[in-house]
Amino acid sequence: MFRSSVLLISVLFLTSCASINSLSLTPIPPERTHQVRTEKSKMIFLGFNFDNDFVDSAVDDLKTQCPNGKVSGLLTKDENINYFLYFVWKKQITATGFCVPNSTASVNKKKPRGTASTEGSTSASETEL
Amino acid sequence: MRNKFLLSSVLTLCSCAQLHHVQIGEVISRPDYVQKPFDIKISETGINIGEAADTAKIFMNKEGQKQANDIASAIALFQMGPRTGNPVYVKDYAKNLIQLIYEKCPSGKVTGLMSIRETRKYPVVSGEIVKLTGYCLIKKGG
Repeated sequence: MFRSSVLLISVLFLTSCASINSLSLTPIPPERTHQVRTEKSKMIFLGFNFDNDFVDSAVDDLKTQCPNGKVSGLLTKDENINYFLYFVWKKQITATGFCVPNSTASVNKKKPRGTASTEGSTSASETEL
Repeated sequence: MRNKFLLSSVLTLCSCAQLHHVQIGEVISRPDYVQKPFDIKISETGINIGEAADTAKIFMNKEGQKQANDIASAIALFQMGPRTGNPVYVKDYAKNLIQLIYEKCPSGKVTGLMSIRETRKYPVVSGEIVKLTGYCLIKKGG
């Protein structure tokens, strides 16, 4: 009886519900061999959260994984994972993309088929460097 | 008495941070460019009408409390719909973001742009924040 209760309580506390806040995607490159990924998360107890600085290092992580190239096709997923009765929840930011080495990026000037339009963007990826 | 004052001050001044949205743009690293980090923060005061009415009711008689409830309900009717954080009364406070990016990075060569939408919650009011961080690419020796 005691064992069953412990098991039931453990299952209840460890089971989580996930919900997505937002998703964003940048243009997908033709070369998709080298995948880069970063995940930043923070556990929040009873809603007491005093800063969101945990996301600040996400870009630096991606830069470290692709030191001489461009990270494209970046899918940023912002999600909440709620544990039992919302006592504890986890804010999680996951960014996955592809590292395109600089030499390849400069050769592939022609826009590939199936790549999303980048018109009007001010980011350096679309600017002639 | 002093402890109560201290406790209420701490409770009032402490803010909870709520993250609504994060978006990361493309990241470029090139050896011939220096990356200068920049960040931009725009904030506007949001008002929680429900909390404002609840606070006002503490100082009112029964008739006043009913009126406060009615006013809060009437305002809430005009503020329906999807939103992040509390309503603000300056609707285009984030309008000049692009201009601010150009001020921080006149060349316009921006990379690793991360936009964060967050709320700093205080009693009744909140800071509705839009934060941008990124890197300005500057040619080495240029």
